[in-house]
Amino acid sequence: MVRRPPGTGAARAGIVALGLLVVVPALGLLVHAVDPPADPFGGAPPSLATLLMAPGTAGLVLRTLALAAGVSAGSVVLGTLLAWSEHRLDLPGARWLGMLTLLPLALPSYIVAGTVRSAMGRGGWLGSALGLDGFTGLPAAVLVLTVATTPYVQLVVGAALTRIGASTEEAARTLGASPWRAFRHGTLPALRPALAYGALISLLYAASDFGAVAVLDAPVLTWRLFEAVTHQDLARATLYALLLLAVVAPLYTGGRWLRGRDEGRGASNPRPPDRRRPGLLLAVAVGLAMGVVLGVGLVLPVGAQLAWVWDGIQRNLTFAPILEPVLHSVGVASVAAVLTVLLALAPAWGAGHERSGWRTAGEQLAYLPSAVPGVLVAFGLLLAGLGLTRGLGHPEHYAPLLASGVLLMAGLALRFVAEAFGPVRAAALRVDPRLWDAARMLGAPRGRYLRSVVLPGLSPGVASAAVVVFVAVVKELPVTLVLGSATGLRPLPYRVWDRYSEALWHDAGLAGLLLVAVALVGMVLVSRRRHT
Amino acid sequence: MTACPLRIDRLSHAYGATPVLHDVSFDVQPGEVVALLGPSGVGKTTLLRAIAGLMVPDAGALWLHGERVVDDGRITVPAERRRVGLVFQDYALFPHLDVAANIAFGMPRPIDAQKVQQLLDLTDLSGLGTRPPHALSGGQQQRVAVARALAADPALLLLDEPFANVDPALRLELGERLHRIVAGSGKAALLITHDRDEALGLADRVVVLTPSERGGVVAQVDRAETVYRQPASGVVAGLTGPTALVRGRRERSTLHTKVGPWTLDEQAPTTATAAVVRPESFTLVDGDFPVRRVRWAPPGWLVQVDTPAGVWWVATDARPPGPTVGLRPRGPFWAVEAE
Amino acid sequence: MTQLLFRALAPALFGLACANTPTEAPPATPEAAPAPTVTIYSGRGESLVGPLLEKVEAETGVKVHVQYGGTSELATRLLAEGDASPADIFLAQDPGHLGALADRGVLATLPDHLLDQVSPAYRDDGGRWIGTSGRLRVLVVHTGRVPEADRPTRLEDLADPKWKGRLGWAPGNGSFQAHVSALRAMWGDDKTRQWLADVSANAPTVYPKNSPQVEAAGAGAIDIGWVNHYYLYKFDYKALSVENHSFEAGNAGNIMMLAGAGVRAGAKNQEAAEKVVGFLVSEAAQTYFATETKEYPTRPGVAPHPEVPPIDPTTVATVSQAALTDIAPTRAMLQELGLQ
Repeated sequence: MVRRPPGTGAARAGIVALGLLVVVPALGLLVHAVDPPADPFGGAPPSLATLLMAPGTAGLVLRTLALAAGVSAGSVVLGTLLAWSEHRLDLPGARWLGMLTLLPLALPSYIVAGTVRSAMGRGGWLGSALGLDGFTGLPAAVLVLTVATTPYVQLVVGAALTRIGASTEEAARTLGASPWRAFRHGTLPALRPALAYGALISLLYAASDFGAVAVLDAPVLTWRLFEAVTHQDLARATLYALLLLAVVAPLYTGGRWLRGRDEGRGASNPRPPDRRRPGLLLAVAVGLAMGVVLGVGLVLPVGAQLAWVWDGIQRNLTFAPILEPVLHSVGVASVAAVLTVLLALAPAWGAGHERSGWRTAGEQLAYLPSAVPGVLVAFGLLLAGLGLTRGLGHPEHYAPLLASGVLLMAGLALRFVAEAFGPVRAAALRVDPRLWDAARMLGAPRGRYLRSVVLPGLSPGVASAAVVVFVAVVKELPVTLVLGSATGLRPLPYRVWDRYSEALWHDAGLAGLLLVAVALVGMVLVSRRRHT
Repeated sequence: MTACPLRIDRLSHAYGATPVLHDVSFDVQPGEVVALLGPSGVGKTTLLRAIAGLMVPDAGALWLHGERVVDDGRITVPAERRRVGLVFQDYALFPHLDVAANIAFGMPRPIDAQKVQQLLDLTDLSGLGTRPPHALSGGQQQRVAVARALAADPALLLLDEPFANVDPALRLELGERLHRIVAGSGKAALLITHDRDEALGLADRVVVLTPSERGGVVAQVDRAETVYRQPASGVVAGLTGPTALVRGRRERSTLHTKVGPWTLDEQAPTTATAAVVRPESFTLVDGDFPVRRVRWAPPGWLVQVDTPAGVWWVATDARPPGPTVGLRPRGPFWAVEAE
Repeated sequence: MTQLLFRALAPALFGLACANTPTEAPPATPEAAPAPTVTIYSGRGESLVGPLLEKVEAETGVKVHVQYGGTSELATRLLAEGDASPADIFLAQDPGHLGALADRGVLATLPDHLLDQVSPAYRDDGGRWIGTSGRLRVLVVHTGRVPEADRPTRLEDLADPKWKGRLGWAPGNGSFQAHVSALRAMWGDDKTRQWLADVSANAPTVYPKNSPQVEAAGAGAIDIGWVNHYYLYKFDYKALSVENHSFEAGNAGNIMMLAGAGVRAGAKNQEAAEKVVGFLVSEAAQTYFATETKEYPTRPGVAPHPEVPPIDPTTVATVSQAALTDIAPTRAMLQELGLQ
């Protein structure tokens, strides 16, 4: 009988636990969909069908889709231009700028949105300079989210460009094709899967985003869902949650399918193409793309926040003490990082050491929650907690449950288990399962094997994952708001959000700058790890 | 008089600090098939890409059909407008277009379907017009690449290792076809190869590129037979066939070697002191040189003979009778400068 | 709205511990026995009432544990928790939820001696809740851009297209919703709906709360905001060139809205709870509301802060506080109009 390697039992138990955790918010949502909770001050709740047919609902869904479509189109165009300039153009400093345009990934969308609203809303300095009268709401959200997702598209298209050799495009040129025709027939056909994948992840990101649409007050599903929750209008919130799920689920499935197709293509070891000088039109387009992405995504948020803080100092305004939010953020993020990495260990171990059934289950469970918008995960857990306490006949335990932070940690772990999964899985795959056989033959006990083989093998991946989750939790807004406020913890995103609503920009700027600093440091740490 | 399809004058290029080509000059006449022969990495592909317009050489001038297309680091005519057809080593067929559409890509609109059919027939691809490229064999794909390049009516055809993936039996036939296409139309072809049989067998003239510290340089430009029989240097000799270089003391037109005095070809340079020994340089006679190995190489044999001046392969019709042989030179030897 | 989540619950570990500790039985002699504890669910923000609530123990000998939250969220919770609720006192920002809870029997009737401390207009007719301070709905206007002559004299005037792009409001705010409930009671549903739609057509800038509107008016993002009167005093309003503006006498725009408190019917320590509520309407607490939060005291004899214009009762519109109870149809109307 083959003894399974150590950790198998724990890994399987962990995968089951992950599965249960994924199911809980879904169940919470489902139960309340079937039996919506009543608003005690409003009499019987309207049925979901009635709410669905209400005049505002269709518009809400359409606007959400319009937002997603606009963001997707914008980011594909900008991202492709930037990837092209990074990999194929002969521009001075192109490679540096290419890396610079990835920096907006560090900035949370709600901070970019806050600075855009202040600069381009009514009375904003940039808005007046550009002649805009109150640029906020849906169009502003499209701009902010486009800038937020362009780096992803740039990465995906860039990776594809390095895999696609230049020969078909050069062949087209030698056959007399104009630069555009050469691109269309030479590179574009091979680029299509990457473009489709990039378009899809932008769609998903835009439909799921909470921070930017909330700060800019764009009338879309995630924001209205949150508002419904805060108004205790749980029936409406449940409907919006289901609609959001209906929008997001096909995008996620499509994305997973396209990802498989995209990774398959490409010649083996193609010759890197020569960089070419761009024509005037292309150079201008690339310049504009860089200007928009860097301007709105990096310069404006950082610069505006610095200006706010400086203005606060100049006008001798009182800064609310920042130490408490920092400590709360660090505390929550540390605990969440540990929990999430532990949660990711089980499916990651399964990836390298399990048979296909367990392995696939582990992977699917790890990636699935990342597709669900944060506000939806939080709401599902909220409903689950509500349903559980009421169902068990102790509704007075609901508030203490929220206050204990259990739901907050569950929400954060679910949200980010996919991000932890990647690095830990890569590390686990490097631990050769045959080493266990070798160890057994040498008579080494289980403990020694785990300590001297598994632990060192896993630790780089675990460390990377911990950093990634830590930074992500520090930046996270919707889960913090919905599940965290009851705990009394006031981490940095909460401070930013609260100060935006009070228009206390100097405080918001200080908290925001600290957030961005943490995110940038984390980004540097993780990318350096990847290179060593 | 038709303008010269290709003329290169002192072309040099470096990739950053690494020199690749140095002072390369030669031309290609109408109706000619010229082979560019040289070891891997000597810069042949770079040269081809410069001719095609896919990159700009740092220095030198390029004329295509009498028109100056490159002038000292500047492109005056871009790739799209040069009448040059390039057949890539990996074929670079458009995967989303079928064979006929691939071929018709460079043709002016509206597309002359008859011409497409002619090209299909010419390259032995009749009936495959509607197939996608991935459904073809390597040889078929290569022919599509040739047909596609020809369809754009280029004055000069450039081929990058065109027969690398083709069966040897087919190679000969395709080579013949290429000659027919080129010779009859006043076009010219320049093909890159590191395979000496291909170069010597197919080409009218051969341009031999050899490596140097300053990059690839042109060692010799001559008819194939000349390059083989009268190589300009030991390196060229090695590139064009199995070679042994035998040094000796030069005394006018005799080279005193450890094997005996050899008569040198009158046209060999006066400073040359290394004789070029090929398998066909000797006949076998009775003698004392031990025979190391005997190999069947139809239609004859190759015998490895151990001589005081070196161990050489010698070609012969019949198996050597005994364990030792003697060698008699068939004629004067060509000599190159010893390095 | 989002107020809920800023004014959210429970600070700390000590709070959690207190929540589930049963209140001690009232002692025979107050000096010898340990102090009783009451739990307050406060829909009023910590920054507004926190300092006052800290004084409760010193003034009354009763320890308080406060859970902050949104008024509607806490009201819903009170109802859901039923008899098992740990709350003893509900402090609400608007009377709507107080009335709703009272109607459902959640609030106990307060003793007369307590109720008599405030004017009859400032308490529940049935005696189940008492007003702790009053807030006036006003417009905050920029003095430069909206000179006296231009200012709307009636709330209905905000529907005039000349205000397009110059207005701000906060439809998610509790006071806003209470005011709309009042409008429904005074104008009827149809006129209210029409007015909301017309003002909405003027594309007012939406704010999550009231205070950003004051700053926005100062900065020039809006010219007029629809707020509660006391937010003005949080800012250096003279430097911002903004001031409050009331409508003509008796107009529906001049609504006085009460913040109030009630005692839960099943509270374990009714006496201690009543003591705390008594403190909230005592002279000390009422002076706090007048001077610190710049609200209108409900206790007669306590004057509002000198900066705050005194209320002329004739200017305030007559609406029963009970009318502000009817929240659900208000919310439905706002949702129908896409304002929520």
